[in-house]
Amino acid sequence: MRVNQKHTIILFLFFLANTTLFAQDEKISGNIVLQMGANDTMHVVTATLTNIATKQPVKAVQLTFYVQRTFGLMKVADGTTDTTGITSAEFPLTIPPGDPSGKITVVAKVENSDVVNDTSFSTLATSKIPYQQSKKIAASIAGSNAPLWLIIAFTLTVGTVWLFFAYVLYLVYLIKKSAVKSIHN
Amino acid sequence: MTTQNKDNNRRNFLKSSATAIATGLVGGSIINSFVSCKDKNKTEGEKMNVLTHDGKLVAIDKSQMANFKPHISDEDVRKGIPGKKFVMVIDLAKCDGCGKCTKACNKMHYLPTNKAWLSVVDMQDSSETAPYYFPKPCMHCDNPPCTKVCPVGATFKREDGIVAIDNTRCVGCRFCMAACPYSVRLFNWLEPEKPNIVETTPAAEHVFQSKKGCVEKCDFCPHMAREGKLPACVTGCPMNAIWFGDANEDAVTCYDGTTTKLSQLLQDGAAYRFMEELGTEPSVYYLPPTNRSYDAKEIKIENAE
Amino acid sequence: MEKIDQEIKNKIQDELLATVGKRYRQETFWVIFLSIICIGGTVAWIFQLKKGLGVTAMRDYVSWGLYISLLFFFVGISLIGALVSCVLRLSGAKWRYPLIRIAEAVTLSAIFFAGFMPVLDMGRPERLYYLITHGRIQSPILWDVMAIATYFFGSVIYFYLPLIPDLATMRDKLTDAPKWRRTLWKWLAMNWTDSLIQRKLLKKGMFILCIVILPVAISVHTISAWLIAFTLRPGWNSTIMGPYFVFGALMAGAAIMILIIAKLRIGYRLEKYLTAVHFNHLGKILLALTAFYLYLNINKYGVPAYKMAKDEKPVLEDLFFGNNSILFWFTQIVGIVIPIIILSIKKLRNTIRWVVTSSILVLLGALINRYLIVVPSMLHPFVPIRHAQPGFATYYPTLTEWTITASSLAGFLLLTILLFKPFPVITIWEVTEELEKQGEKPIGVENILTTQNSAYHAS
Repeated sequence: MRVNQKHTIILFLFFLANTTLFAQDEKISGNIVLQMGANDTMHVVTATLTNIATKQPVKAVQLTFYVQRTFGLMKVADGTTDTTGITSAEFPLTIPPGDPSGKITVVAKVENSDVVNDTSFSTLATSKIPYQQSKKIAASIAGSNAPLWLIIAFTLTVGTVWLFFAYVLYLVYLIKKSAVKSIHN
Repeated sequence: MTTQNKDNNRRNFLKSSATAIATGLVGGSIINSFVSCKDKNKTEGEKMNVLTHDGKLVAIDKSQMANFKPHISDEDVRKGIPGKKFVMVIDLAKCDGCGKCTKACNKMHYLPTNKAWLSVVDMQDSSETAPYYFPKPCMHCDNPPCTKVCPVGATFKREDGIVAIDNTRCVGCRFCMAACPYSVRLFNWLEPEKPNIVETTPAAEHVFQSKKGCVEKCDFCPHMAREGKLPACVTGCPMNAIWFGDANEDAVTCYDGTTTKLSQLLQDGAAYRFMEELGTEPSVYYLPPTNRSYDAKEIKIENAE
Repeated sequence: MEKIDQEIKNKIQDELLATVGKRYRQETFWVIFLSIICIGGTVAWIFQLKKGLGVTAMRDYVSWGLYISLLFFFVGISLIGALVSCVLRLSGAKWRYPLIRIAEAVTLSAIFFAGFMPVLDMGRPERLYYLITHGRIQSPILWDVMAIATYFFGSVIYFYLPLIPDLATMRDKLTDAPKWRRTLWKWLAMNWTDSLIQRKLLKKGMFILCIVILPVAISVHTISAWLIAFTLRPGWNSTIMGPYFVFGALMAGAAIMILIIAKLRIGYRLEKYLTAVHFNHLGKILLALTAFYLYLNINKYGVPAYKMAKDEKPVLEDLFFGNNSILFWFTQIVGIVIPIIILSIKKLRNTIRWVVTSSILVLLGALINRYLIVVPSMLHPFVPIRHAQPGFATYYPTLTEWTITASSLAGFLLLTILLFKPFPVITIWEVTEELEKQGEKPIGVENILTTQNSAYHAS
């Protein structure tokens, strides 16, 4: 987590260097720190928005909270920072995780704000729903492997018929055999 | 773990492709991908267009082909992408029948204009009811009638919900076409025109699936899903009518990137599945064509017969 | 039991052995004619293999056409072997003796082509062996392959068993035949000395096979019916398909049997053995089967027609009033109702000509009916056809397709003729044995047949 945060800060410093040169002067660069918690039914996410330069909290900025999904970010909540730069929001614990660790990635974003440049921060939270292992789709005949009853039924039916064929061929062999005897006699 | 492995593979792959590009670019330019492959001579130093698994065309020297090892095995393809269960939601109220999904799909899969994996059907249930446009991809049924009858396992149901076709296995008996109640399967009656690309993935996840004497159909673009990208039809639909996602994550995404809760979307939109009464359990959901964003009267139903 | 006069026995043997190796002008003509059609078909097939199945009129909607219809037809007539060798045997009909080998020959060649039709229809026939290496036994195709293979093998044995004593006769009598033939006969005759033990063993083998082959034969046709009944298509999604196919098959089989014995009777000069009595009996069987088939047809088309459900409606309307209505009403009226009327009239049933005429009608109806089972359902899928490319929403078979179809039928006839050629077409030993049982009677099977209406001999 901490490493992550440092990385983000460094990244944003880079960004700062670039954006301050060309962007409008009135926008500041912000930094979001997320803290995850939970009550019985809801994830509680608390975000703190600070000015990177002054380390002062930024108030009255709209934050949007997303959960990372395979093909995009799913919006789950939003909130506006108070005077301490903090906002918190709740979203259901029942959002399923996207990877085997059972974690969900929560992303907070500042988008199209008049005060702060677009910025985002992500963190992990534990989902209450276990990760869905690839489960077998119950379709015995549609599947790749034949169900046992079918194998048994198929083999038995075909086997029985061919056994009778083999027996008849054995009878033909006996016909040949019996003639040899009678000739010898 | 799996993601790490994948990353490693990708890194190795990028390394190898970087060398390949370097050697390849010395000799010449990128060959037009639609040049017919009939006139190619198998000579040394020939350039080949390799379609990498992340959807890039790379021109390389033919001798470098060995560097392009598939990053997924045949078993991976038969099993599917772990932990996923792909679903599609099509909002009939938004579909104005422009057919851009079909075009995007055809472009992605190198299909000629007379083929459509995803066709938009004008529907009218009776003369009194309102007509509507009905995009019809493969339903990727959970109880697929097609995979049941395949004699060689050339079409199969993957654990991620995709019904795929392996055209190196298909014998061309067309039983699956007879069995499919949605008529989504197409057959290559003649030799298809091949794009000048080489694919390194196993056949069932090829972008170009046409092969003479084999069956092909919509495959939900698994090669894109492996990269976390949406299928061609979704990114080709400017009306945001097609949503695609993972049911295990309970989320679907559409053209503009909006991601929404699948269960909520199905509930609020009173979703249904096409011909539910057949028990095929499709993976494609439809939102009924209520409050349409286009004029329904303009739809002209053309009967084929 | 009186011993039959050796002289009479010899005479029968000589008469029946006369066809072996002998050339008939008409037969030679047919063999050449059919061979030419087959060569044409082979050329067409090579063309189809090279170009792809696009040379046929089959497209994405009608993805099965003439070839699969013909598969069902061939599987159908292959049932005749089971009818004659099992059903008639178990019912104790003595008049069947001269028919056994003919029926088995027809069965063998029909089942061979039934196995061949799917190969013609395959997009990639070079991958045929995948059925073994990658076979999925959940698929009815695998069952069909297995059933056809089993029935073919069973029919070969059933063809061979009654042949053993006749091969011995040939070995003993036809001493002036080429040496390789005599060696082959000697080897195939299995040291047959006509001893009591050998007869007992042979009868036992035939009895076992007769019991075993019946379910196999029925399964072959039922599974072929399942190929279409296992799908959800309107018109196919029906539980009647199995019995419908089996009885349609028996009907077609009886019809082709009548036609073939009518031809052989004149061509091979077997009037003494294939008599009006056979045509009368087979005519009665054909009447019963045709009447029952009419009943099945009423069920198959009448029941959904009463309901006119949304999905079934387009198929039924196509058959009743649409493009296929002429063919449909032809099969129903000319192929079923008229033969029933002809065969119901005793006077007509007793004349060979009328029995043969009604057989031709039945067979023609059965052939067209296979087409009507397959194609209209494919033309009316659940999802309505819209914006179809030209040629996709219709089915008019191409010349290539007709050529291959015709040559498959020609090949079937050719193989049947060639199977008649190396052996006597009528089982000599069974005919003479029957004479022995009847006691010494003037020559000619006619007389035997008239006296054996009641007696049942366990064989």
